[in-house]
Amino acid sequence: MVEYRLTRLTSLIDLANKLLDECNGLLKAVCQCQWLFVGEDFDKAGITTDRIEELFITYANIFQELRTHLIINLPIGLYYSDKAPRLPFAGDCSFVIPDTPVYHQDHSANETGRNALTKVLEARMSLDLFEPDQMVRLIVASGGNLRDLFALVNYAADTALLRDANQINAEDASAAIFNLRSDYERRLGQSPFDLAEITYDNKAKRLVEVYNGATEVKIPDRIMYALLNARAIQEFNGKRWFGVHPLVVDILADQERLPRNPTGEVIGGTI
Amino acid sequence: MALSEGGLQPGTIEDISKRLALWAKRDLSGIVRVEYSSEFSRQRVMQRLRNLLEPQGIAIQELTLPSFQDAETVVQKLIEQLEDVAKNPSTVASVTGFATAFSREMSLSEALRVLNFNRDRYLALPLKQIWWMTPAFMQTAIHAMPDLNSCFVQRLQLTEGVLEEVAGPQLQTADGSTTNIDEARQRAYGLIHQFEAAKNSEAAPTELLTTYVLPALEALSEVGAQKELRDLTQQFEGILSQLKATDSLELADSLERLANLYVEQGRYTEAETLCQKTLNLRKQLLGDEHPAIATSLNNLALVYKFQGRYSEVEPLYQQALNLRQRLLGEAHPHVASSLNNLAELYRSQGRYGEAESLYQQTLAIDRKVYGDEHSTIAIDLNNLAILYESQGRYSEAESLLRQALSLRQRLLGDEHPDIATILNNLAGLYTSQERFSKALPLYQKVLSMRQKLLGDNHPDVASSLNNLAETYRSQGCYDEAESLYQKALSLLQKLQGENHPTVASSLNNLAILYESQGRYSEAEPLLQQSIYITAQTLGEDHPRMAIRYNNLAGLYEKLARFAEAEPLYLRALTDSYQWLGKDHPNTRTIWGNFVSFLRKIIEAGQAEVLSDHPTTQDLLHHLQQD
Repeated sequence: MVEYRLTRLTSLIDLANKLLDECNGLLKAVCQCQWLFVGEDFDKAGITTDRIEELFITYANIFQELRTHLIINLPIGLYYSDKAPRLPFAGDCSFVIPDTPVYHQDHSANETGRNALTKVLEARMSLDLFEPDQMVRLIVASGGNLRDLFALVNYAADTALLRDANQINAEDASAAIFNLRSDYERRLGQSPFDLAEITYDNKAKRLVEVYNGATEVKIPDRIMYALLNARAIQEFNGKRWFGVHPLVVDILADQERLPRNPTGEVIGGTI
Repeated sequence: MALSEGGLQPGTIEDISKRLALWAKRDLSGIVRVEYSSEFSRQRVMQRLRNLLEPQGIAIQELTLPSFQDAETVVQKLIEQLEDVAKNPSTVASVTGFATAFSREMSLSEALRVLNFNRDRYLALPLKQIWWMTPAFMQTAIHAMPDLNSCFVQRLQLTEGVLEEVAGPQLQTADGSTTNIDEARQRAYGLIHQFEAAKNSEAAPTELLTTYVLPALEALSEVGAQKELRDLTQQFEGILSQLKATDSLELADSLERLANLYVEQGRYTEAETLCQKTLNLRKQLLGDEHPAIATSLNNLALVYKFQGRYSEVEPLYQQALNLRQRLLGEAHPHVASSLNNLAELYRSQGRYGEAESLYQQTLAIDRKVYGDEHSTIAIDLNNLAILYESQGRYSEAESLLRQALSLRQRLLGDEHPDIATILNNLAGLYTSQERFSKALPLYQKVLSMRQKLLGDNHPDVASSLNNLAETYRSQGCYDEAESLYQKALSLLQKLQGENHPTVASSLNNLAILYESQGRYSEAEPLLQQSIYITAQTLGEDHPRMAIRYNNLAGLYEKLARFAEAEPLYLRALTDSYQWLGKDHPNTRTIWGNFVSFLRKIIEAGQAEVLSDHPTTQDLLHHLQQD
């Protein structure tokens, strides 16, 4: 029996690599394939945040030195934290599975994203159940998050049923949007996972900067991480940009931190 | 102002019940999250839901999570219970107890990660689940279990409160007096005797004040001997005025002690002046950033609270809290005390969700500072229990009171005034649940314990007599109740004088008894006198005036003196709305009473006796359309 201690980690990695080489060689000989390992469930019950951080940051060399293909499904809380720059994954190898964008970065409507979400709804329900324009209002309010979208549609549909109607009208949609908004208001408060207290004022200032497309927000700090974790800010792949969730845009407009147009709408918010 | 049960406003009992019914009829499985503050409202939702689902053959089973367990155990027990319910198809599981499920060994956010991680196990079960969560719990849950949160197919908020009775037994939130009245008197008069001797030997006035006069007055104040306290204060008004004129920082503490004595006597304006002066004095001499400033802010806030000036209290308590956190750090007993003050304020305003979070923070700090075996922990548990009782979370309240009781018994033995306080609160909890057979012997035990330990002529004894009377009244034992109410009243008049807020409450309670018996002509002068004393002692603008007006209006309503009742209801409503806010249980009660009053008038076809007050006319119009 060999006892592997952290001081002998290099030896352990060497040994693991020998084993991996042999496994890969055997698989290649049989079917011309190599092993791909998928690591996930790191937020599993019983594994504390400290231990996960220790694995990915203190012993990051494990992932860099193993001679095999790895896909690591990382807890989002770690990806959006002060520790993120120390993670052993290069920028071109890190991906976020984002919500479907409902706006472009310049706040113009993202029709591709909205159409994709329409198809998702169409596969589950008849779109005739919406009065004109009401479906797109719910799609926008969901910020492209499917589960939020289903919760919105459920709430609006039940509101319609409670008034014995067959279609979701503007008031039903507004009630659903208002109901979901309180979750987002809560998310803007102090989180027990934030390392230091971040005042709401600081969060609101950053949200306005992101809304206005300030480029320096691409370099995240603890305020940005808190807002990403709270899903108040959404990160999108491709050109990698950040957007403010439409419900949060509404909240900022109500606090007069963002301007409304003469018809009372705020660009990039709910419609 | 909207009707509390009108239409299908979001968050009402009717709205939530119907939404849950639609979901339960439609879906085969899944979890709905409902946020709630009032257990009374939750129970009403469950009752309505049962009625709506019964015809469809859908049953509901209520599950309660175990208390204070480690996260793994909570998850395991939850799944076991859910699996058990899932054996009966078409049953909805309604789960409560999340706020008290998790042990404090691990932070709540870490514990919720465990709950979050196991989400597929609950979601995979072939049954419908309703998870009930309180706002304080939600504040952490929204951050700590984002994935599980997304999985809730509906996220509803039950915001409607349930109307409660205005009158009820008197509870003590923290501690009652621990001093025997005769011993306190003896000490006070002993100090006065020594004062005379010191004065003759030409001691300095400040020494006379701080060594003899203030301690003597405080001894009387501590046991609630108001009448003697007032007499003695008047006797020393000359020397006390020298203290009031001081600009010395050394005497700031004494000024505050005098302010507290004035508060005890209901001399709020004078107390306010003294608190303001102390605050300014300390600011000038110590600067803004000093722990003593926080103490001054707290004392001033307390004066405002007694005056019912709640909107001015909150910013002062907040300032004191922020200052203490900055100067003393997060985990300091003074910070805990500030959090507790704010929690008490929120509770009194019906802001239960905010209060719960602060009480829990207080408890966490005190546990860190004092450990588990300390009298402060018993007070914290007691206060949290009183909050849960206000919310109707009776089983959680009882569990906390029993923990507090056994802790105090370990620390103090069985015979101590603090034990009596907890027993009194436990009896109050049983009364709220109408478990009178359990409440009555406890109240009797508390009364005899207090008589033995504090003396027969003590305000806490009067409070016990009142509570016992209240229990008899609730059971319809009017003769026993009347005799006890009268004893409480005469004791209070003797101890505190004819003109005191507690005397006004006592008159009010006796009047409500007479009203229950239909002795309206005897009730009326008592209610009028109660209004007069309350206005004289607390001021016309005090929130308690709203309760007094409401009660007299109710009497006039019963006597069909509608034209006299209406302005009193309106006054009660306006005052309560202004001072306590539209969501406070008292405001809701008064609003409910006014609505039922107007319905009665419509039925009696006497709408013409009402005034053209816009609130009356708007509501009348609304009700006539229904």
